[in-house]
Amino acid sequence: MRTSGDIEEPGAGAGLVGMGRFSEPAVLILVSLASGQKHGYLINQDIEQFSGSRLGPGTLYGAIARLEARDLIEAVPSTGRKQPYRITSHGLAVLDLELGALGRTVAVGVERLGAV
Amino acid sequence: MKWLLRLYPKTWRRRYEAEFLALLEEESPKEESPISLSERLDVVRGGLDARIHLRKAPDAGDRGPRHWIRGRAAIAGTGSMFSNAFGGEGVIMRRKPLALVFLVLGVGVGLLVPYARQVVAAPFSSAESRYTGNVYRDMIGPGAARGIGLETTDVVNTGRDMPHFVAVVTAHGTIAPIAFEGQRDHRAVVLHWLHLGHGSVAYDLGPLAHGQMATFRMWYAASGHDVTDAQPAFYGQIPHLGGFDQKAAIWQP
Repeated sequence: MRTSGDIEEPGAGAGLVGMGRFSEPAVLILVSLASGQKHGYLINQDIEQFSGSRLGPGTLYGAIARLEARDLIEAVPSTGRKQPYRITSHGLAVLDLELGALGRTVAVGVERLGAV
Repeated sequence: MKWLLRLYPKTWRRRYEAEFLALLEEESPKEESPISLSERLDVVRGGLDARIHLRKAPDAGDRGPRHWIRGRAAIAGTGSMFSNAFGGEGVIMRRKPLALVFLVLGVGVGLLVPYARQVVAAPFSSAESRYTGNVYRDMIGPGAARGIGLETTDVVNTGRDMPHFVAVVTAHGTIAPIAFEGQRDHRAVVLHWLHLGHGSVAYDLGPLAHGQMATFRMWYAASGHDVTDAQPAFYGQIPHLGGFDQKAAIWQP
């Protein structure tokens, strides 16, 4: 299912594999949308609140386009200029895997820091 | 700022320009506080990136040589992953000519011999089709991740309808695709995701006409040992933006 307005990118449909510099922004966006649908500005505000950093507009929409092309997020029907997005079930599954991997990295890092 | 958006391809602008401008207006609501230089550079970088990496997607169907190469790249990636599991490190990255070797070794040998602990079902059968294929459960991939491989070859629709040919994988836990390749009559095709409900994902190979042959190979990562089922299936009409509840439309010969 493609819901990205016919925009596609290489590797679409393969989780976050191959997203390059957009991988981290993509995870941040997925985390933001996990709490409910939001449009671009609110996504960025939310990300700033929980991560302390803000995505540039080009980075934000570069990641949104990729996530949408991979069906990890989808546009919610809207009449205004601000387009809300929500996370898909596939997006939730991928986020779960990504956070699991990050969690393991964090756990090992904390453990090793404690041993220093 | 609007002039900067000309850096983006038309397809991108048609889809995202309005909301992108709305974002920029909210980011800098007043004339005296325009967006910063770094943000402008970010917009420029995003435009160049969109021109290079994002493009208009063709309709489902044959996709030409670039997609053929892309399909091979996905499989080569699978080969690389399996080669890493064997102990080699980044062979594909270091030696590009070996990509083709690992297309065969990684997918062929990798799927067929060392990782397939249990062949669940082979071959498949259908009253209206003839095809061979294998499902491999409990494969061990990179990082000791357990996954499932699904491979069907030479699927021929001998029926008169044009059902969509879909590979469905179901899991109790989370599941995500790693690599895939699909062909119809030996030419690479677009694979669309279908969301069939929680824990169930699928690739749609598109409609298969009478006499057409399809082949696909894919590899999924799943959490734990939770994959419960993996099988190819024929579905009836699947509207491109349909999504859920398509299981009810399973094609019956």
